Amino acid sequence: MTQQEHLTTGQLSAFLDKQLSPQEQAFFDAHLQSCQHCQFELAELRRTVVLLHAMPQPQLPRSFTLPTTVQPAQIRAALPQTAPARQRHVLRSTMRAVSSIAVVIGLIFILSGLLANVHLGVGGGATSTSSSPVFNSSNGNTTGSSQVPQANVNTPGAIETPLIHNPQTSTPTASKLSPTPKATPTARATVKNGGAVEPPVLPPALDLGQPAGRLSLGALLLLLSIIGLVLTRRRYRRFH
Amino acid sequence: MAETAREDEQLLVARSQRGDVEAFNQLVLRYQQAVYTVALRMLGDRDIAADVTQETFLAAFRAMPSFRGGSSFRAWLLRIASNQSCDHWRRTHRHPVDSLDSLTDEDEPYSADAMSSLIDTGQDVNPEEALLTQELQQVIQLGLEKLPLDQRVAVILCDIQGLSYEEIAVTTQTTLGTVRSRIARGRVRLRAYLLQHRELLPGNFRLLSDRE
Repeated sequence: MTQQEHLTTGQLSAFLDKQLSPQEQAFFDAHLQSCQHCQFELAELRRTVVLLHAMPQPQLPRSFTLPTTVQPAQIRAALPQTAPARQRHVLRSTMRAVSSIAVVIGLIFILSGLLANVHLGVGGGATSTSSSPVFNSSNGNTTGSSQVPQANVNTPGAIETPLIHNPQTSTPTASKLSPTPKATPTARATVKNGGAVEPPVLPPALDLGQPAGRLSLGALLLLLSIIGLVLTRRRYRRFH
Repeated sequence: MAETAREDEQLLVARSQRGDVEAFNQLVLRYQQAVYTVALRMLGDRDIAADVTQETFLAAFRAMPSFRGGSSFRAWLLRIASNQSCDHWRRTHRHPVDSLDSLTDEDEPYSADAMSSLIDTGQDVNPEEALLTQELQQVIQLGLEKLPLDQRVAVILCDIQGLSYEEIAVTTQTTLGTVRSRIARGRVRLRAYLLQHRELLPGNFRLLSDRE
């Protein structure tokens, strides 16, 4: 026997199926002609394959066509699934898309909430995010807020100054402004209208203007979207 | 498959995806032999194979919308079939497959008398024209059922159904390398099992094995 390695059963088997790569084929041919061991192994494998090929095709016991009167409902009853396949498919895709978007939004909120806490330090109010208005964290700036007494209230999270200008159709509930537990005593400067959003005054946990609000809302969104994605995952046949 | 046949199939698939049962039944007629054969070779019981075949086609009809027409319908259908078969096997066989070393007498159902009667048949069988006796068929079937499921699927798809490695890779959702090794190991294991019953092998087959 030469010092070459013998052919592996994988190679011998693949040779029978004409599945050797050209390189493998070259090595195979060179080795086989002088190696009785491999010739024997090959013959053994070939024998087995021949036997398998010789197995007769079993006779069909009956036809397996579905009854033409079968309604989707009948198939539904026969199988664990409950919705028409097509509608279910569309619904599922929609759910997944919505959940995916919600994941992204949730993450954005969480990040902005976290970053706000980083930037916050002692001083200003919430940092600007894509979803919240721009704040100037200037203390005691009451310019333009004099029109509305509430603007002087320490409500770093509430976006009450835009109410003055009322650029958007949001809650004109200036009277509902109330101080928040947040420690930073800043009055909102009159901010430019761009990005002014007027949510109703909410507790900090829900207020999008506050980092804490964004954080918790983001976490909630993330949780719901992950649940949505998990529930709509493709349950089709996992394969071993 | 001829080009027109493939186009016909694409049309049938499209119609089936819209819920056309009659179109789907054309596909059933085309593939029920293949599905039944796979199920039977996987599981060894005709009644169970029939049940699995029916389940396969029901599941396939329900899942038609999720079949992306680009890949082979046969591979997709046989994937369902082999999955169904494996699921059924796992439900009914909680114990691991016996290793070849641990074959006990109860796994060898053939008495010496039965074996000798086979030897005396005098069939000088040409490899190319091997006609298998019922007993030999049964032994091969038993040998298949001794294979681990992944090797069993690969060997059946390759040597019983004649699928290419590529199509088997699609059907089993694995790589060509994995397909190759599963087929090789399955064949080797089956061969070893058959050698335990070498008396049943046709004439000139036995000569080779006696060399061992």
